[in-house]
Amino acid sequence: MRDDQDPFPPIARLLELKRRETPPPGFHDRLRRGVMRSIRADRAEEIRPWWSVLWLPVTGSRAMWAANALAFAGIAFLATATFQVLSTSADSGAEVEVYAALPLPAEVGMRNTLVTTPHAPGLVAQAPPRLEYRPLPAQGTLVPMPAALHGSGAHTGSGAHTGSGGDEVARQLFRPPSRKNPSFILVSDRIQEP
Amino acid sequence: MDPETPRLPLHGETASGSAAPDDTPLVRRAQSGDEDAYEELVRRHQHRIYGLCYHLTSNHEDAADLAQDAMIKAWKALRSFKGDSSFYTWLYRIAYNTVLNHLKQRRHRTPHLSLDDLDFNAEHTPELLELISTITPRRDVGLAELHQRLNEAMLRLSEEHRTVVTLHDIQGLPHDTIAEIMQCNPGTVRSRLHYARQQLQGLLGDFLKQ
Repeated sequence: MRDDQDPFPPIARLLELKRRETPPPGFHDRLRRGVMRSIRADRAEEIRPWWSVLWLPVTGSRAMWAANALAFAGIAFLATATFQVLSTSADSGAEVEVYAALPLPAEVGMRNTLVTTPHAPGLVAQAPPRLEYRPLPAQGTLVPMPAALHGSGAHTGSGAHTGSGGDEVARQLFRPPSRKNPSFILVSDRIQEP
Repeated sequence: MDPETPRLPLHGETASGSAAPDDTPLVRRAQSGDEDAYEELVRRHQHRIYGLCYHLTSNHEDAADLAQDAMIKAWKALRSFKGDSSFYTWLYRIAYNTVLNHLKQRRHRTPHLSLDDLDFNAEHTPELLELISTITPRRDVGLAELHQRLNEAMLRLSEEHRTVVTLHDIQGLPHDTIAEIMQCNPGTVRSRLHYARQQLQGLLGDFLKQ
């Protein structure tokens, strides 16, 4: 096992001294316990179900506890918000049904009936005879002429555009697409040259 | 040798100095997940694994961490152990590689020695005094100083040379086993051992009797 022809006998004897270098008493017991503790902790980690991390606050650090508390609060908030949205949607649907069932006047004045409905939060124009509510259309479609714009320059409501000047502006802004149905105007964002 | 003087076990010995029993049954049980069996294997080999780590680093704290890491790694890799070599050779190889990786990471740091925790109670035993007197002509030198100088000299060796000296001259492993652990041939082990001793002789010449 050992070299019999050792050309450096003092060195070999000196190195024997290193066998005397031993750790403090009890070290090896602590080392072995540390090894086995780590191994058992790893194995427990491997077989632990995913939901058991929720119980970490019981034994975990403060930071872990705070993180879990925050996660719980977030989940609770999301659940509450989702429940409220769902219940609001159901209520508004019922309201619409009740509202639709209300009797309407025999003749609906179409010239000034821009209203809002729960399912169309913007302005809508009431369109007889089917008594349906339709969303205010985009550019290029027909909507009823507001009553304020009928007549001579009353649409502005100011003295600056009264009389024939007001009529001209109204014509430029709301040029009727056809004389067959002058109650409807063409929605346009552009003033056309006369 | 004085039985009262503590020392790390040599190759083929248990910590109590008796002949090492066969590890195979315990290894089989440990491979099937028996933690108690592995604990017994740790108990059998931890002294030598710690000794290897300590003599390669000359630092008690590092050696403790490295020995623990090596034995945990061995547990995790135990299923891959096929029994081609003995268990302790396999365990030694894991410990050796663990220490090498550690030393590579710390290559650019100044190594520090921590001998304060070690047991020097045996310093004044007659056997040791006689041993010291055969090693050095200087009567004023104490055991602690001798250890300090020796460890400093060991740290100046390359990792391969230090390993060979540790495994052969300190732990008493045969060349073949060292070659298996270091994954080289026995001739390389012999030449490294010769070169390492030569270097130590040069580094510690003023302490040694010619």
